[in-house]
Amino acid sequence: MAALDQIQTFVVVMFENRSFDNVLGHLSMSRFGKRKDVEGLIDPETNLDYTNFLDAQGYQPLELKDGSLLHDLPHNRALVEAQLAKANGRYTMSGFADAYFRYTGSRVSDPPSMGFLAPADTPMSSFLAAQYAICDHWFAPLPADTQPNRSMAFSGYAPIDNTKPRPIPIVPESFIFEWLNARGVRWRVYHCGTSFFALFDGLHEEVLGPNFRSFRHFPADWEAESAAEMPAVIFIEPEYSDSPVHFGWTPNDNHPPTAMGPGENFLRDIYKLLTKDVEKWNRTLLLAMHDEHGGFFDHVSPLAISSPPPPGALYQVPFQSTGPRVPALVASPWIPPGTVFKGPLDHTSILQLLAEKFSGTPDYNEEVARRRKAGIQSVSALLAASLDRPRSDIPSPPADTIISPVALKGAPEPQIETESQQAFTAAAKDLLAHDRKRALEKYPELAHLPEAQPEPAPTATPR
Amino acid sequence: MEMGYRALYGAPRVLVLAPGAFAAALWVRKKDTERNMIDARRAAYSLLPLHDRLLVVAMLCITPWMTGCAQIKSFSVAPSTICPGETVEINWKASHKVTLQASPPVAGEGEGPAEGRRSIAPDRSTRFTLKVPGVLKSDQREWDVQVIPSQSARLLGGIARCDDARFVTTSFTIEQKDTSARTRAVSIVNHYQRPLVISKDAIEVEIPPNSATDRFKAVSLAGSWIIRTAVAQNETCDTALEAVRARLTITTQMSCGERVHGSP
Repeated sequence: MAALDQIQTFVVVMFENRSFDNVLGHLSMSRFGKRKDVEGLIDPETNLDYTNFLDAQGYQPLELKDGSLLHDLPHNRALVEAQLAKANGRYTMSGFADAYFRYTGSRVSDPPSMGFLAPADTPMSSFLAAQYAICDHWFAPLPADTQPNRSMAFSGYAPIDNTKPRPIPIVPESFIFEWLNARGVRWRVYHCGTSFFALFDGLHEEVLGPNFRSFRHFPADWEAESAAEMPAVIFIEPEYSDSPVHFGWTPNDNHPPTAMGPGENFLRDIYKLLTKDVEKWNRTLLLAMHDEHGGFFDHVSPLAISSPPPPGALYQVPFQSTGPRVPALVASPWIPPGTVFKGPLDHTSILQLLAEKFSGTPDYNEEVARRRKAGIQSVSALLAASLDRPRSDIPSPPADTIISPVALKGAPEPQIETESQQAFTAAAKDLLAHDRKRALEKYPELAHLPEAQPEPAPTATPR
Repeated sequence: MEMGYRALYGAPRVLVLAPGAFAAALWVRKKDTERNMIDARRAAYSLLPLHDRLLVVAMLCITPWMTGCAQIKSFSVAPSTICPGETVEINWKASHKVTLQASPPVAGEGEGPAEGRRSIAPDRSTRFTLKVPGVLKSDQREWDVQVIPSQSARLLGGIARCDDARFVTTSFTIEQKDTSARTRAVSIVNHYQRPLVISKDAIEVEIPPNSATDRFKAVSLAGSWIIRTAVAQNETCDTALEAVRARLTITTQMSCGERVHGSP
């Protein structure tokens, strides 16, 4: 495969908690370009195929102006099940309004969970979709929240089915860092603030090690390093909204209630850096996706691919399907403008891709192989339609200012701490306890982490 | 280079730690209130004379107890749909004193006790917001009330099923807590390309495709409804279910009829 042979640097950016329809569903709408090749929303305000119900009241998708939301949205396993609303053997995708009410206790005529954004509010994502490739059947691997889905993304296994303030267990010999190390593949993580990888069990030495660098170093590294020195796999992490300390970074991970604007700015920054040097860009593949749908409506049913608990899992009931679709964009000069890849993908498609590139087989491990046999394709399938040679043009990203309502207006009043926020705080404390000096050198913002916390607050599960 | 090195913190706030003892102007971002307050307390504490330190300790001990993590345990507004002149009853239970706000403003909003009940008569569709402020964490919920005739169209329906081979059916109940007893379905619209049969009380009407009926104009919206559509000759119940995407929905135009004896 010509393009995959030529690509030497894979850049993976994983944002938080948005559904495909929330970010890119507008692409197929008549008032926003009417792309018939993309499976987005069609006449969402009147299309009865999308109606959600709460106490017999119907709710339609609605245009949501980007900005800080009043509440986070429901996305734990039980409430995702309510959102998928399986009936008569079908996932009806009709429970997003109901789950929002159950989770927030708020009953409004315009539940944000039914919201989609206009292209003006997702300018960078819309730009990449137009100029490179959009994957309109990329699913979160599991119908659950952040931690299980990120476990799948970075190991192919989910020993947990929920997000809790505890170290995330890792199935031995499955984690991406260990896998890359074993094959002599250079890799690096660029993080804004606290890295999500700090939440995984036993990764302290990696997270404090030389492969983890502040995103502030990325421009200089990218410019200075030769092809021989550059890492082959780069993970770029946003500033997580749930991080306990924000110092020098605005949350830009797209996690509600955080707005999309800062994340779109961040994605534009990354794209501009990667495309600065044509030679390096010609060897680069940028993958930008969201870890899970975050509680936002999506109209496409998940894939009926089950996931059994791996050995040592902290749950017993297998997952019966993937999660809902998430926005996923792939950019490289090897990709023609306006590409739409419709094959079934999930986060393990990245592991397949890396395994193909660095070990000659898509079967990263047993579970990834099982998912491949169940229908999940590799990202390399998208490259099957790649160009014979890299494009000579480098499209310029939108130059307009991207509104960042978080920074301009300030966040809503602090609300009850979620389990994800508690998990970040616990991981940061563990990191400090492991090696305070190195932790503060690597993550200086942790100096502002309060040592004493009030009594654990009840989680946001009203009603 | 438009990196994300933007200043984070919002407007400066003044934090008073103890009466007459110390005031610290801090750059505090709202979300970071808790941790910054603790940092600020620590910094300020070291500058205080001994007698004021005792005051600070006392304040630190009682503040979380007084205003720590606020929580709303329940909040409801009923009915959610009313006729002009009718009242809604608002009930709440929270950990601390609450603030009830309305948009647009109505008489009766304002501060209230941690647990309470209030009757309010909005003359327009209104969003009620209950807030429980806390220094460390606050909590908030919203509830919309629709006042007919300001927005009288309403989408009703539910998930459909194949109860027998001849029909795809859904049934649902509009509870009294959700609508005034005076609301009437003056018109019911069938948006589908297939006939719908609507049943309520003793009335059953077949509405042709893309048509409407006024046969329910004297019937209260509250109560149990059944919607069904026949499985066509070229369909199985399963394909008929797929054709309606496993849902059956109607649009009702609502109006306010006469007050029913015993109704609110």
